[in-house]
Amino acid sequence: MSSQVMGVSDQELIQRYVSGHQAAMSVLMHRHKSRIFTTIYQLVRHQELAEDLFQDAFLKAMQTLQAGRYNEEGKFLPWILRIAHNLCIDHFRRNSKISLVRGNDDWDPMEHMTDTESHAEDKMMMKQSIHKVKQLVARLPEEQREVLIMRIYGDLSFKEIAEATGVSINTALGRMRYALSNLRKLIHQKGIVL
Amino acid sequence: MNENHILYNQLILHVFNELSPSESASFEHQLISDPFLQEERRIVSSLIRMLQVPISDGRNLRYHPSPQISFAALTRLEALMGV
Repeated sequence: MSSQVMGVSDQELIQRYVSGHQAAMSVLMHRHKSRIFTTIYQLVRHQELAEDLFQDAFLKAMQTLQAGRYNEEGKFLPWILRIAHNLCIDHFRRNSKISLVRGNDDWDPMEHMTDTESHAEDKMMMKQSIHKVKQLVARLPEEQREVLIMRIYGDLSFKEIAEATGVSINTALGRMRYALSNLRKLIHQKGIVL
Repeated sequence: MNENHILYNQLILHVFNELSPSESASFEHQLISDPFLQEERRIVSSLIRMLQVPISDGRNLRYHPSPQISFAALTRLEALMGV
């Protein structure tokens, strides 16, 4: 990314894109790609599908901008995350009864973990606990799971989550509260120590 | 919303570092005198840490970051953007 655009706001980049500078969208993409992709990935848990949805989200955003229908006043990230989230839901609706965030028992959140000089037993216990806790997220009701994923993996603030999901901040916080409460019940059932 | 919910919402905002400095000071004041709240904060913080899976836990384990979008996918999208 050019140092000239490092300090440029999202809103300004959007204006530049709308006025014909295609590269401005690329800057936005690189600026926010980690948070957008991580959020989509955590929702669908499939690399290629997440990449397709990431692409579709940007293409849809570009179409909306070109059609002059964007009025989010500088809140690009919550806006595109809302687009991405809707695309994830559309995908799963098209593919019928597959739940948003698949509870894939084969999924190993620690698969990339490497060992240096760790104590093998401690490492194994930690790995198992984290693995179980992460799997339990898939059992949460959709609205709770969505808030949890957007906050933890998308790194959105609760204000941004509220904007992205079209609810009040108190509702977003309430969903997180229930998500944490439900997770703790499930963790207790599994005998995992926090 | 009842008082417990308001307090728990503050706890969540505190764990995620989203309280303003004055709100944070007020919450921490409450925390000092409430062992139950302290325990709740500890548990919620532990849970969040487990879900985050840190890149490095500062001990003997090392983690790679979460999956990332591939260079090929970014290049494809940039081509579609006309960049």
